[in-house]
Amino acid sequence: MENFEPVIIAFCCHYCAYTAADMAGSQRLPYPANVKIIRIPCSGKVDALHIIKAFENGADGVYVAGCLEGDCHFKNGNEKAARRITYVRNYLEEIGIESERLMMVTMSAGMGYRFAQTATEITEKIRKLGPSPIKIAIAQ
Amino acid sequence: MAVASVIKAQPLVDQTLPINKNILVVGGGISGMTSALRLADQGFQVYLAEKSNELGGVAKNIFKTLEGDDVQPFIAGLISQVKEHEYIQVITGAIIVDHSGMPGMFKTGMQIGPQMFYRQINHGVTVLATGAIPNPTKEYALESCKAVRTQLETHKVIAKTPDTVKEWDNIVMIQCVGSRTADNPNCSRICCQTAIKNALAILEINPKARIFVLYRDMRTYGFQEEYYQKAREKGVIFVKYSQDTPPTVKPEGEQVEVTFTDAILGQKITVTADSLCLSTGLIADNDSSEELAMIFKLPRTADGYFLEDHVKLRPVDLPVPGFFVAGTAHSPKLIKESISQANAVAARAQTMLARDSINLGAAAARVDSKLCASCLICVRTCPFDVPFINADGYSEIDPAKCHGCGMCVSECPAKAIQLMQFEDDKILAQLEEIFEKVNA
Repeated sequence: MENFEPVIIAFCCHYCAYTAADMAGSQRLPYPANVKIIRIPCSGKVDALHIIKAFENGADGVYVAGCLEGDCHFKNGNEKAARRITYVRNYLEEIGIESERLMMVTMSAGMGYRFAQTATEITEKIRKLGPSPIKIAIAQ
Repeated sequence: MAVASVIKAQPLVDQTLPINKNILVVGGGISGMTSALRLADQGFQVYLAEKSNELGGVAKNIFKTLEGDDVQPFIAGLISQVKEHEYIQVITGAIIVDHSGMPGMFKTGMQIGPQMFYRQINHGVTVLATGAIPNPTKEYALESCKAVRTQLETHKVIAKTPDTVKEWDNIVMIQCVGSRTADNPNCSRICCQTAIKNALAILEINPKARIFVLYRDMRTYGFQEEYYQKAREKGVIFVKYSQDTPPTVKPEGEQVEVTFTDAILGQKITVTADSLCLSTGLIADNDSSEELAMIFKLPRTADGYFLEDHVKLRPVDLPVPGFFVAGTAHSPKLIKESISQANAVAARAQTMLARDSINLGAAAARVDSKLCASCLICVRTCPFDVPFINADGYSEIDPAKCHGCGMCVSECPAKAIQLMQFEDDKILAQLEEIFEKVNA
């Protein structure tokens, strides 16, 4: 896999991370095009199925971006999401995918800089990890 | 991606709810009072809640604007209009303590007065006009030396005791004190024109005074530029300083010695000033705005100001339907800008209040009774206790009560629930589409 460019799916909560992404745009902050954003109403809406399907299709990394702790628009969706992420990470390990490829991050709607920074950091992290085993298998 | 999900889109039915036409305005400064008056003039019942014991806000400390308009008579007029208005109920000494309900019918509880009487208000629209506070910085010997004042304090001296100003020979003003720094990167926007305003007022009283304005960037935006030019013509000396080499201040009895580097001379200059005015600007009132943001579930910027839903498309709306923001609660602003925004809020709120129902969109969870196993997981998951097992033995979700978070959807083991507008097949279609492009 020469010139490896990771594909990263970011499930972004409408009330925080998605707005933060918008903020990053209006502040003209650059972040890697590797991150593909899917808008969801709350990080608690992200199903284990969506995460697994992303990896199955060849995602190198997935992260769920929710509100800061205690700031969830729907009371505790972000906590539920964090619990689910921990669960799915164990499951990923079991099927032979590094659990580091799945992350939960939190930010508020005003944190455009944090969004761009997180996107850059995660892209670099996944780039170091290399292509996901499923992607290698698809390519062969 | 978006197109891929649109292919899977289904016809949706908007949910509507009746709207309560009462308005709660939080904050009794110029912005809050202006919004309240505009809305009450249209015949809507307004509750104006103010934390302190009197109306007026920070503007009570301002006497003249840059253009020379008198502020105090204006505020006094505003206060008496608000107090006398048949549709405005003023609640002073009120602290917001709880908030519940859904768009169109909110319930906000507050504790009022020294006895902390609890009162609940039903309303459909909320206007946040909680303002900002003068930055309580202690830089440049502000607390220890009498000759050092903030611009707000200087403004009061000019307005109340002009004789003091006559005794000032040298006046130094330092801009960007406590703002545009690592701790507070925010620009206060209003300080440049405040410095010009005070400099011109000082020269009016005492034409012989020498005024030095030490600035990092002078931003007298719009037509304020004319006053900047006027100040230069009148002999106010503007000296730029860089953040790395700020001026140094040493109290000398009744006076202060201010030392700064003149970029043109390339030399250090010391001025013995009779008055040192610090442009400390405004900062968000973190104590109250953090609490209100938690109670009302509203986002704030990194600086602690309330964040509008969209900078360009929805500049006075907050993300929760029925919530609006005006004045310095949103960002530092001049009085006239706060008034414009308060009027904008009143106009936006009327677009909601003119109707009898509020449209909440179609994002509500729907249960497929054929798949439901009545396992109660949705009942336990829902943060708002909406799902229940109906007479037929299946989970039922009232779309009018559903907030549309989708938590039950992701928990449901039988995949019997779908959140309209965010159906699973739409999200999966987006994923497929991304990889179709990438893997091709």
